[in-house]
Amino acid sequence: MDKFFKIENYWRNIDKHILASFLLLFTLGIFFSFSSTSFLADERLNKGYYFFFQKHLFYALFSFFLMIFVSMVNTDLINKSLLPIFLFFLLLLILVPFFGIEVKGAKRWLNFYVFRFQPIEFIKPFFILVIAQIITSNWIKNLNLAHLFSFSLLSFLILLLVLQPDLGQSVLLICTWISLVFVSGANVFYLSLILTFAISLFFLLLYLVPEKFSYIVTRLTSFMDPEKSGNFQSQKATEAIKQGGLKGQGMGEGILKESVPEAHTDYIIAVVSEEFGSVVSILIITIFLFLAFRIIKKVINFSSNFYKLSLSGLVSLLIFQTFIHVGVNANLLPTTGMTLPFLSYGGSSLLSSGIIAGIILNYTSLRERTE
Amino acid sequence: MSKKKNKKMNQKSFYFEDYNYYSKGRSNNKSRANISEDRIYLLFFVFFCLISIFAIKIFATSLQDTNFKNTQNYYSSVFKPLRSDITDRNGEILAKNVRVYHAAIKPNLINNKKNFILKLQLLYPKIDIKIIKKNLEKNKYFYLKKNITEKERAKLWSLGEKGLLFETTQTRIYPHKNLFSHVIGQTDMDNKGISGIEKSFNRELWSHNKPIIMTLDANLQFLIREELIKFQKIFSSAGSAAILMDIHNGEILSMISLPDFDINKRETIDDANYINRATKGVYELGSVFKTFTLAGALNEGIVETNTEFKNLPKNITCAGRPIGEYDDKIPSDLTAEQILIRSGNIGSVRIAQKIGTEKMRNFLQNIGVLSKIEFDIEEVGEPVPFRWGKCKLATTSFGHGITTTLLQLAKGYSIISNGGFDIKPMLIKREIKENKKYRILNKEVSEKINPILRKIVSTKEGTANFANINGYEVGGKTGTAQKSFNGIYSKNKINTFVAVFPTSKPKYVLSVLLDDPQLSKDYIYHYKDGSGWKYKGTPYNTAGWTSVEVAGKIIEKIGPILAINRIDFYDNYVVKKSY
Repeated sequence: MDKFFKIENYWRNIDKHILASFLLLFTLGIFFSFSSTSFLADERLNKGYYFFFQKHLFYALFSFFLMIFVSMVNTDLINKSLLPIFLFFLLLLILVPFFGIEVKGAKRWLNFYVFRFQPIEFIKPFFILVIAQIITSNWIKNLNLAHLFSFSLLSFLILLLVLQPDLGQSVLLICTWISLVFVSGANVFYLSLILTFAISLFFLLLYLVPEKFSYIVTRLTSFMDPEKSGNFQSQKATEAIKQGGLKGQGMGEGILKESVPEAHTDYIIAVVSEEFGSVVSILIITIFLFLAFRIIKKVINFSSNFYKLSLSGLVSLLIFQTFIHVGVNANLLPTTGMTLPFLSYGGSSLLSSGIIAGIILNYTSLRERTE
Repeated sequence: MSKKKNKKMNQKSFYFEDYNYYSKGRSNNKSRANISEDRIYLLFFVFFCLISIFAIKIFATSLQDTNFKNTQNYYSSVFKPLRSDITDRNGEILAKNVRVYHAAIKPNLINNKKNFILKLQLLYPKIDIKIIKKNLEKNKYFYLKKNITEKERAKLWSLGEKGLLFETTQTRIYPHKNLFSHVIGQTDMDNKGISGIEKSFNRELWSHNKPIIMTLDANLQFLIREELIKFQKIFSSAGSAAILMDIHNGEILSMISLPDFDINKRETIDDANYINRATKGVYELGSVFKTFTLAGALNEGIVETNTEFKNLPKNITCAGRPIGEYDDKIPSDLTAEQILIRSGNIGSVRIAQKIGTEKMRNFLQNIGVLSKIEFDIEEVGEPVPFRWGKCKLATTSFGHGITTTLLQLAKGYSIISNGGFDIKPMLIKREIKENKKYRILNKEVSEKINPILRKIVSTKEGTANFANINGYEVGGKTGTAQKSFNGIYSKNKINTFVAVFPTSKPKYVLSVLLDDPQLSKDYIYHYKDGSGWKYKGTPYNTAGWTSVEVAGKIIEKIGPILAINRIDFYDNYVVKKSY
């Protein structure tokens, strides 16, 4: 039994602050889903009032138990199985362009009839961990070479994402990779060089294949020029935040979700602000920040490079995802569909959040003394 | 590092055990420099800053006052039309988007279905209850009534049913119903244009906030349509069409094709009789082409108006087909001018033969009657292509074996009468620069042709006396042709008259086409030669007795408007009564 699980002293080793934060986020997610998606299910889909809520509840509970499960698994076992799992999801991601189903112009999902599966959500944490392994292991002797290898891996993933197309996740992965490489001690000069190259490649692509990426251009221009009507969603989100004020309109009183499609996934912060006030939104953001703080405090005490790096990476992933979601909601970033971890509706997103949380809990529960 | 080998569990404290565990992994990494804590702190600092900025932004946004106007917009969304208006040249609205509602029913929200049906029946006694019952049982969202007005919505609202919902939407209305049906065209339920201007200017109508201004004049359109409808009944014709165009800039003031339809009803029209006879219908138009023949010859300088043609036979044959005259009394010796006035077939053939095939074809091509015209609506017919030969040249000279549309005919006459400048017929107002005028015919052509056209109307020998409306100096040319079906001529006739007025300084062209007019027993003709004679009943269903009469009546009606609305027309063209 001990080979697979670390039941013994589990409760003692686990970081209660982090666990409590995750629990709080899941609970809030369920609560907000209850208050804000019932309208949608009823009015739009003519399904039962609690159609979305029930699904959310199911996935959130499932994710929560997944988190507990992952946090209990023997760490060595996790570390050994990272690469196979990563490769498995990578294969699924490669399958998306061929077998994926298209929803609202983007091919991001694999249809398993019972549920739709978004491979990128699951690949994210494993991508980070695998990269952390590559960089910290002695497999590639030269650190710069290791970085270069991880960069090529990233490029491959981005290529797959761009095919879908999924700009938000691409940006998220790039940001996370940068912070990971930065923490691992990369030469800042090389890093900026690669970054410049990537940005110029991006614009080159925009220029060369305009029909595939025209939506990016329209979103960027509509972001720059808010007078244009293309900015409908962010305009509505801003109005909703204004409408909510500090204290909010009251539970279920928000109407952003009526007018903006995907409000329950991509605009959850705006929905929450409208119904419960900006104070609650800021509280949620603070929870994420607190999480980051707790984890990084732990990371500092580790002596193992791998755990330092992988935890920093996972935190970056959470924070950047929150960052993009909140930025889009606050109309500080161009519109892109990015879920808020733990809170947004969406099975893949929730399960992925559960996995990330589980791994974080698992790693932070390690007892190690600095020498 | 000796502790590393100690793998026995449960012997030591968990502290040690775990320590061993992970120091093992760590030892592998010894070769690589330790990760700098500073960088991790820096990363966290960046997180902190980014998140703080966004939190502050959200906080600041929430503290902003909600602009009242915005709130209004937010809650009831001030009406924003999806398509811009279409107006006529005077700003009269021809098409406009208005807010309407779809009344929908959500069966699962209705508690007492029997009661609800009863209430509906009280409100709409004629409503089909069976369908509603069926839909209610299906328990799916369905529409009770689409496109209802605010008033009707209030009525339904007063039923107090929770399950009765109203979707706000918009629809396009056409206040003039049938009047512009062929020109404006139709939109579908999604406010997309599917025919006429609505289709060809779909993008402009979607994107612009300003109305699209047409060259049409609703008043003229109304009057001309009234006349056409009246004579459609008198002559029992299958259809009719009229185009009134400014010959200098190609602005179409009126364009009508009968029968028409109410574009508000959004019916699918698949009856071929509803074709737009002004632009889409392609016809052999007959003698109206003789003007082109003479104009072509004048343009080439091959004949003059007084060039004599002697010993013209009454009959000739070409490739075994006979070509004769309509009028048996036509003299054998005629000048070029007289050939056109008396509408001589053989004379026209002679003129055409002088011009030659190549030049004749080029001339017709230049004035735009040979190939498909570029126009503001897509419903444009394509003249039937043919091979030029000696016989083709002969028949073309009097308008047979050659087809075109009424619109192109009007264009051709405009160019011949306006001094030889190329024009582009248009329905949408555009700025045209005076210096962009492009001459394609010699100036003298108009100077020579216009008086002849006038003589066709004003002299006894002419065929269009009934259009001689006092004061407007009407000139023009008639055309009577047999409709051909797949190359075989039928008894059905197309009667055309193209009027140009006032001939001393031409400004407008009015072309009238009647599709298969019949004889009328009761219609009374008034002679316009000042004799005061009347004539009851139509003797022949030729253009001189039908389309000319229609054109005359139209000019009589619209003349004052043309004069009133345009001072220069009144000053320059209208002959004032002298006291």
